[in-house]
Amino acid sequence: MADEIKVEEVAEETEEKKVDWPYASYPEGYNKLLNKIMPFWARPAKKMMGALLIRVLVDG
Amino acid sequence: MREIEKNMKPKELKAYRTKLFRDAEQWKTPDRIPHYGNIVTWKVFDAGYTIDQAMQNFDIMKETVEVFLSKYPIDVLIDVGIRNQFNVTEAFGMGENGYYYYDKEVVGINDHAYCPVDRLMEYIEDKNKYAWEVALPNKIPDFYDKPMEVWKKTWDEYWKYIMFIFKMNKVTGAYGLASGAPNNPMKGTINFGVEEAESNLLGIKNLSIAARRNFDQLKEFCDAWNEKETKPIIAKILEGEDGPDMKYCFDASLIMLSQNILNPKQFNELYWCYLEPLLKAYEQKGKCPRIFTEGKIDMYADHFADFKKGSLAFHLENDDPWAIREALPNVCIIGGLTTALLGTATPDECVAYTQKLIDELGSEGGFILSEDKMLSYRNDCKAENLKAVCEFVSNYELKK
Repeated sequence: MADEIKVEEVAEETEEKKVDWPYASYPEGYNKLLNKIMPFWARPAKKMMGALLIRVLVDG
Repeated sequence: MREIEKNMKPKELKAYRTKLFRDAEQWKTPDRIPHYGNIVTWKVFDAGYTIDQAMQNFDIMKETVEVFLSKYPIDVLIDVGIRNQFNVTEAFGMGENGYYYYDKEVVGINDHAYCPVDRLMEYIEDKNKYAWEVALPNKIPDFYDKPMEVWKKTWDEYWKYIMFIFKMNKVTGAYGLASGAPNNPMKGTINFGVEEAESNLLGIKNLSIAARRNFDQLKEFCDAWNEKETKPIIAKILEGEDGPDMKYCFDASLIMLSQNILNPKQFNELYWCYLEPLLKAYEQKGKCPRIFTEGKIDMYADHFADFKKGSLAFHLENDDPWAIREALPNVCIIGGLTTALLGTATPDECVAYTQKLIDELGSEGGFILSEDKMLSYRNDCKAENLKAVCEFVSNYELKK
């Protein structure tokens, strides 16, 4: 194996958090947040680039 | 490198190298055996840096790749420095909540899970929604508290990362490096439900437990994955052009790891029933995918025995290449070089072993040289050994 794998206790269950963060919903809040952080010229590629950014944060 | 290749322009060399792979896959004797470089972070050490230096600086990472390609005439390189996106996760302040980590000597990954078994169907229903509303808030405790400046900085680093990918494409193009495989016809990596469960959703430990305690839920998820992810890929393959895509060395790239923790019944019902139709589609269209069979595959060799020659290539990790050749004389083998050999033997011993591999497994096609493990650690390989092997294989012409 290339990467060193540490086997640790992993989450058995997830918990929903009640929040009032204005961007917490998907796709509405998520799209609003992307519009705030993406430069205007990049917005046509929002669907693809936003999804990839989520993957980087989730899998990274 | 042979004179004929030295005199080629980069684009010409890339096309020539691609043909070497295609000939080997199709069991035609290539001019010489192609070398698929299974080399990841080892090249950082070889260029005189440590892992943290390369991970924190794109210019250093680029330099390590250039140094490597200048020293070693490899035909394909599995990683051109773009595997890890630490600049993005660090900008977001991921800290110890990140799955990947690095120090001076190692890039590693923690076994992780972001989806309990009873929410797998929710995940497959809408992956992005699940990621945004469930996985990220659970993974990052202060997810909802990140200031807008952090999000903007994260975006800037993400964009730098995308630009780095484009830059590295130019670098590899200048060296005439061949391209391994295209993205799948639906874009992205070809993956299967059980592999996604192992690598991300459940993790290794929880998948092995779920395969025994929650088989029906796992099966329901794998069925749904097949409908949503795999069947559209198969449809695209079948409606596409026949024959190999000569822009690439292989028509697809798959990774198999889960077979190592599944028993035969689980393998058949959670994996093979979805994998076989995909491989048959490639076979029907005259295409050849590369499958990186991590761990071992020999226990399931019989499943692959009736595929036509030229339709499958196995990149071996822990399997013995001679045993796989005997069990599967229809499958092209990628591999042969071990880190044990490259890390401890002498250059002469490495060259003698490489010649034995080529003479016994590759003289009539069906063999591509590669390293069994992704070379990652400092001691995985001695530079003089890789240099000797590369010089030998790039000059050793086969009799036709």
